[in-house]
Amino acid sequence: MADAEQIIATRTFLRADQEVFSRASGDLNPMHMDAVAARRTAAGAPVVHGMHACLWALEHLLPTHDLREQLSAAKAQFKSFIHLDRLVELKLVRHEATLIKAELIVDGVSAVLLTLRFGGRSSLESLEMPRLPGGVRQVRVGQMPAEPSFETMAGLSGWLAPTGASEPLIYLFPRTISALGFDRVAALSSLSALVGMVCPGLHSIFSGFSVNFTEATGDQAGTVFKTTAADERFQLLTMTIAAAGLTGEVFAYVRGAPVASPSMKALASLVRPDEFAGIQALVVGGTRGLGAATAKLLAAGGSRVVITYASGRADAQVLMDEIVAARGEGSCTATACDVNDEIEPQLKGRIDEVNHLYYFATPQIFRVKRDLYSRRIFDEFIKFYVERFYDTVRFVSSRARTGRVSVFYPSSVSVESRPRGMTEYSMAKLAGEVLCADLARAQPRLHVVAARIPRVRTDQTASVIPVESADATSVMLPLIRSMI
Amino acid sequence: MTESEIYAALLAVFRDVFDDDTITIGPATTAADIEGWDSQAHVSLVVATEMRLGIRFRTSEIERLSDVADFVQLISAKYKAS
Repeated sequence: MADAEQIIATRTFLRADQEVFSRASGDLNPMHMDAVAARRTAAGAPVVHGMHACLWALEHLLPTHDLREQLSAAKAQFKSFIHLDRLVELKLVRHEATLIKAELIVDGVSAVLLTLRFGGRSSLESLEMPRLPGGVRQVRVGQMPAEPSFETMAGLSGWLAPTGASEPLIYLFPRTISALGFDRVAALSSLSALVGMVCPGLHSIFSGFSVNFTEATGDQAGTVFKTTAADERFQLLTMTIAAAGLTGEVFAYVRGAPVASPSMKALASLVRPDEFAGIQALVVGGTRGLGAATAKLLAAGGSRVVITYASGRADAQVLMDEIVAARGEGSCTATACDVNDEIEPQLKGRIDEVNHLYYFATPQIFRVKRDLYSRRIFDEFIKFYVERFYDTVRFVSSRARTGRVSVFYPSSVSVESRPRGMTEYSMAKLAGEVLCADLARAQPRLHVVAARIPRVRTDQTASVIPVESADATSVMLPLIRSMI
Repeated sequence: MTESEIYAALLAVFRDVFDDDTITIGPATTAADIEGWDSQAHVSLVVATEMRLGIRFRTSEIERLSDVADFVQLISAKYKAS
């Protein structure tokens, strides 16, 4: 047996790996495959399929064990996202004759907890396993995930036809298939498609599973499933499943759909149509969240608005079209600007004179980390909230020929409330406030407003446990008015 | 249900959720004291406690919990109210 508390394997998961596992499992959820769609989830970027990570772990764990005892049960908890191109370490935590506990670790933080038990398997006949009655609805996984309502999910049951392809599965997990049999590994793999494509489907987060491996594999392919618990408070589903060679439970959260900004029609009732006339505004990071709400409010009040986007070109086009439809041609344009790169080369020649700047560029705010303070994370926040902010202010003010330039800097109440895990973020926001104060002192024609904004419901702030969050429009409207 | 009975029940829940028989809890125990007590584990603790004790919490009650003492107090209040 291998020694406990040792790293027994490492790897990074690449984009190509996602594609292979997607073919193997049938799970094409955009959270794993589409960078633009994934950025509008709490993960912020494409993440590894949890089941892929588990099966990779099994490939390395099973050979460490004396398999005279069969693998009889497996339990996994998906604690945090595993992003692509990040080093994943497989750590053996406990290793006994009938038990293996292991952990998948990324940047020192536990991402997956895995418990394997060895011993006798239950026979098919001894379990209350749903068969395939004629009345069970057959479900097939297509190219797009389903998007059922929570109410529908709560009552969902059916038989999921076999998902994915066998060749990539055999290629990826030969040792696990040798130990467990192809049917059981295919069944495990299909749980990814059940969660990611069927229930909850599009807006899913696979939280974990607990399965018992049964003796006989039976003569039926596919997976029977039934939702047995649906907790509306946490949007948490529990599904009982049964497939060839295994039965158990699957747990999944229903994450919120991307947060939509209010319509121009709704905003028109909040502002006078000429309230912001004469304002030429640049909204950096203007395609979603606070930026989108600000761009729309300004335009609703008669401002001409330029919004920038890093990768959300499609989102920018939708927003721009909506504003132009409501306020006319020229009321809104969009231009690419990735704050990771130098500002001036990206904006030079692309925007006219600006007299209002709203800066909402941000990296991923909430981070799962091991230590209290991370230099790497702090540097990233400083780059966005201080350095690139300063560069953008200099660019805008250098091109403003006359008059005042109003600059908005979104600081955060976290500077005072200091929530756990946000040390670097709070530090960087406070540094930005100091910069704002000194900018205003050094350049009298700059009118700088640095406001400590409360938690606002955005794609980034969506959480498993409901947290009181403010509305972007009600937060930004008085601040915009204070800029005039 | 007495306070000590509530603590005993909660201890069983914690040990089950974290799959660790060595865990101990006290009034001042918070998420910072137990490795792996993140938001998902918090939900698991709440749901497992509800199932074990036959009670149900409102979202607003869950949001206000900051340590185990708060949790015990809340559970005790639920029993008194029922």
